[in-house]
Amino acid sequence: MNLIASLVVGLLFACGVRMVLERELVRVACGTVLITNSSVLLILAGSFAERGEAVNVPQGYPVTDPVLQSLALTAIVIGFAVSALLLTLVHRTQRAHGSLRTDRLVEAEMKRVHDTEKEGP
Amino acid sequence: MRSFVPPLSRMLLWPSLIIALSFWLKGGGEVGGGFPAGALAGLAVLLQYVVTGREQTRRYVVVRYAAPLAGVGLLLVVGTAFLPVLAGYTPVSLFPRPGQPGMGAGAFHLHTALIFEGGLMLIVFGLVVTVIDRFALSTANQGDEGP
Amino acid sequence: MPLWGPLLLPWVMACVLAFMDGRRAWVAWLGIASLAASLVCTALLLPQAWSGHPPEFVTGDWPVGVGIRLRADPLSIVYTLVSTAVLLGTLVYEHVAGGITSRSFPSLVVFLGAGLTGVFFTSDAFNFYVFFELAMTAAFALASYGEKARNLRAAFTFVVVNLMGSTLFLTAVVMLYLTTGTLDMQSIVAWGQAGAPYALDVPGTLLLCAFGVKLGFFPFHFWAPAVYRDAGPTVAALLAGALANIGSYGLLRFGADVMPQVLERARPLLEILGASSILYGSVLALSRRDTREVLAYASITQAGLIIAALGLGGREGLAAAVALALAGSVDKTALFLAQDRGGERARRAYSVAAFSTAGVPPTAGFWSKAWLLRAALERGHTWLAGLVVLASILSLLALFRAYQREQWLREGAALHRGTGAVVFALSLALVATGLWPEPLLRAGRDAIAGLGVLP
Repeated sequence: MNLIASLVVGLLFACGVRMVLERELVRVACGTVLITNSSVLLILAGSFAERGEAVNVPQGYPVTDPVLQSLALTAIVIGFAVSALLLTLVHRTQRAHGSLRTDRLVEAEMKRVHDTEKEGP
Repeated sequence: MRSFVPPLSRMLLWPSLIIALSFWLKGGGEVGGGFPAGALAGLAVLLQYVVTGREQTRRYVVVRYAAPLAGVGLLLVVGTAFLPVLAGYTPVSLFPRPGQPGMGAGAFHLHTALIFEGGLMLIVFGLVVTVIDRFALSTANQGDEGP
Repeated sequence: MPLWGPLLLPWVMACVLAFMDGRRAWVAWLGIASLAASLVCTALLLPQAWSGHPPEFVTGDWPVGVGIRLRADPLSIVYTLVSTAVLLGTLVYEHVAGGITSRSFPSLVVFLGAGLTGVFFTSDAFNFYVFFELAMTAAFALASYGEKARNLRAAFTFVVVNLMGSTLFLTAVVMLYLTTGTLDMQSIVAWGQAGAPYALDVPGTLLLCAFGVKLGFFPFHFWAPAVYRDAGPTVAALLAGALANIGSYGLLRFGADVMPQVLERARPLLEILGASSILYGSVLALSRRDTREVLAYASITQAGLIIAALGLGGREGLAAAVALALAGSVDKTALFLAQDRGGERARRAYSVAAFSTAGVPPTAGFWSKAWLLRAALERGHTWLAGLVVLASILSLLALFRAYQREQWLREGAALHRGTGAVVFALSLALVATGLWPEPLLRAGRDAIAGLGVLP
């Protein structure tokens, strides 16, 4: 069980990193969501081992660690809020630039830097 | 084309909201809680946005005042955390105190954690609906400007 | 003053401010007043924090381990005071500099204050993460303030990179819990003294990476120049002056307090990272033309100094790290704000802050750097001391080259009273600390004395 869980966490993280390196902002955003979720899965995987006491479980059943479950829930809430924010940001960037590709953004940035250098001595 | 989806989605809205409320109320001892409740309610509203569009969905009062609702939720959360201080307890104390007889039956128990969870539900719901509304608003505007 | 005072006040005020339109003058003043009030509340905690029994409470009167413990020892208090003061100065500056252009700005700054206070007061690893994320979310929203295309680009870079940092931090916290079975920091300390010696190395490394991203020292610095250059000047001051404090505080708290044995083993690594960061930052600062980029690289040097001080270890090194972080926070805020508008006072403030960053007496930066040099020489690390002196000279050169190039010097920009007053106050604080360094030195020494450092 732990092996499968760690493989999935690794896969999610790897896919997330791969997507963050993509050229499109939406994919970058999706990549960060994947990475956040890989850490949530890591928390849950930690709770598979039987430790602690659950709130409301009949005697004799296997229990998971309630603390880690609540940590996972908190992490989900926070991840949710941040990804909503990130998507809003992507949307506004798209409206400001008319493009979602990072190479276009880099071009715009280089142009601006170039302009300020020209103003200088 | 007349599809069965719009009437079906409208039929689904109120049951989803009621299930969300039940999630909130039984969160103390069973599966549920404020966050799933808020997320579920938000998803129900999202379905309305997708199917019927912004204008139709904003007829519901809850949807129009989503952002202030989130603020109210935040105040509820902070209030339940810090109001016990006025009575001389430490912050985030639970009432009725552990060990004291509580009110309620079955999965439902009345205590201050319920208010806290309710605040959380409102925050999540308000946040989801506000973000969806912003997106819907700007896509609607783009549609008007578009070719 | 009870401990919950400075925690509650910014929270409630931020919630209330969120309902109001921040572009109105009185709303901005309300935000300023609430930050000032929480500054006063924190200051009232000072005598208690120094009394040997720091104020603490456990939420809901639960036993420790179930409830979350909040605690205000001298380290927390000095960090809270400086960060809140920086936030206050920046909010006043943004208001008097011509008005706030976004309705949520005052509320977000107060939220940032609430998050930072929570981070500094909490004594629970996971609660640290929650407050940390609260502060980060407020900062994410602030990063796009200004709404221009370049601000949005800066915000996007900032959010994506810092999300990675947060994920690493979360993973580290969970690993700590899985290894030690507790989230309460003092229980982790107890576990570390009894438990296996190498068990906490992996979470320690992850924490170093996570706080490295926040603080922005050498291998984790890559986001800093782009973000500090393209975010608005006040936002850059907020990020560099207040938010980066989370990084140094986290390293001190988790390194020196919670896992001293890991810090002890990491010392050579920290020294190398610090030295390369000092060198990298000061050399690149010289090569840049854009003033804000120069400042960004100077802040990388600053972060390197803190890391090098941590790497020197011992009470002296750690106390020097605290002093460097506190002085650096005010320095960077003053620099970022002073280069924005111009005017006679802004010029003077810029030079004072530049002197302080380079470590020229009589400024706060001089004393903190002198402390670092003494710690390095006591350890016999002459090369590090030499590097620090070299970096100081290079930063002085870089900062004054930027000063000469700036248009506001050549053209004599219009004098702006309000903004001038803010930067003047900041620079006055730097000089006053330079002339009377006792509070700074005591803050550093007592903050470290309150921790359980290895002798």
